[in-house]
Amino acid sequence: MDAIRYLLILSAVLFTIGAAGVLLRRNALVIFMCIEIMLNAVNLTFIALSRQLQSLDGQIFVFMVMAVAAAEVAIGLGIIVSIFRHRATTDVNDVSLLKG
Amino acid sequence: MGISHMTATPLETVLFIIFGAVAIAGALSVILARQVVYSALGMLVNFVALAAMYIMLSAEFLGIAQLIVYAGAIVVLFLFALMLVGGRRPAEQGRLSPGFAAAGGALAVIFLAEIAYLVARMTGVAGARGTVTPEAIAQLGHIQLLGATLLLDYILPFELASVLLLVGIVGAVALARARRRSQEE
Repeated sequence: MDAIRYLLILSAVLFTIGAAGVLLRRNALVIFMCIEIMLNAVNLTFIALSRQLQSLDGQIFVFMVMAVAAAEVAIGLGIIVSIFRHRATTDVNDVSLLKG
Repeated sequence: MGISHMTATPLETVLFIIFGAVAIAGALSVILARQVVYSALGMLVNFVALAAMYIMLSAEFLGIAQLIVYAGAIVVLFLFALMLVGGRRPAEQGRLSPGFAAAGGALAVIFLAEIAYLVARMTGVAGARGTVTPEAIAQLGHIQLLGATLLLDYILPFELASVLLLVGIVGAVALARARRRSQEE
């Protein structure tokens, strides 16, 4: 099998695992980890295609994704800890004030 | 170096398969572990395996950045948050309705099947080849090429990323201060 196909399939599998985790887990921290796994799966696609196309543009995208992920984790974990301080839970089912 | 010519040496192939399997195992343990701290450690395994893959795909800088930013900083931040919210209790589960779980699992399987179908039909990667050939990397060095691209062609996104990180720091501090104020009340 071509290396690029193998890498794209691997990346799709990792993204699917992350998406399934977001849909199936109820713990806010685990959901957040699954989002990180999805970001990493997309990074792998960018790097594989950057190698395939012999261009560095894909790697610049990965660089930006890493910067966004770092900022996102700092803010997101702050929000999760804040919610825990107020409501003593990290279960997203317990934080449903906007639900009609 | 095999990937750009659609062939890989046997050693590369074996290493790709091993690291791919490790990455998938780490990701699976994130969503299957009952304790959140094991999820965090599974995520660490996933990040390290992907860093090895980046280095094998001649993205050395990003491989090291992956180790420092993801496997270092982000995993440690997760473990700190876990310590603050009390990670020793099992993750709350079991209140997911069976219908919702079945629908979520089906959506994931359908998504994976779509991608697999597209990749199976794929005949090749279209688009112009760039100038970053293995020979150019060997001659100039990967870090120099990436640095030139980042600071000449993509200088505006680079500066915007620093602004984004600044906003992230300010936001995290603002959240922490709001927490302290609400505790004093």
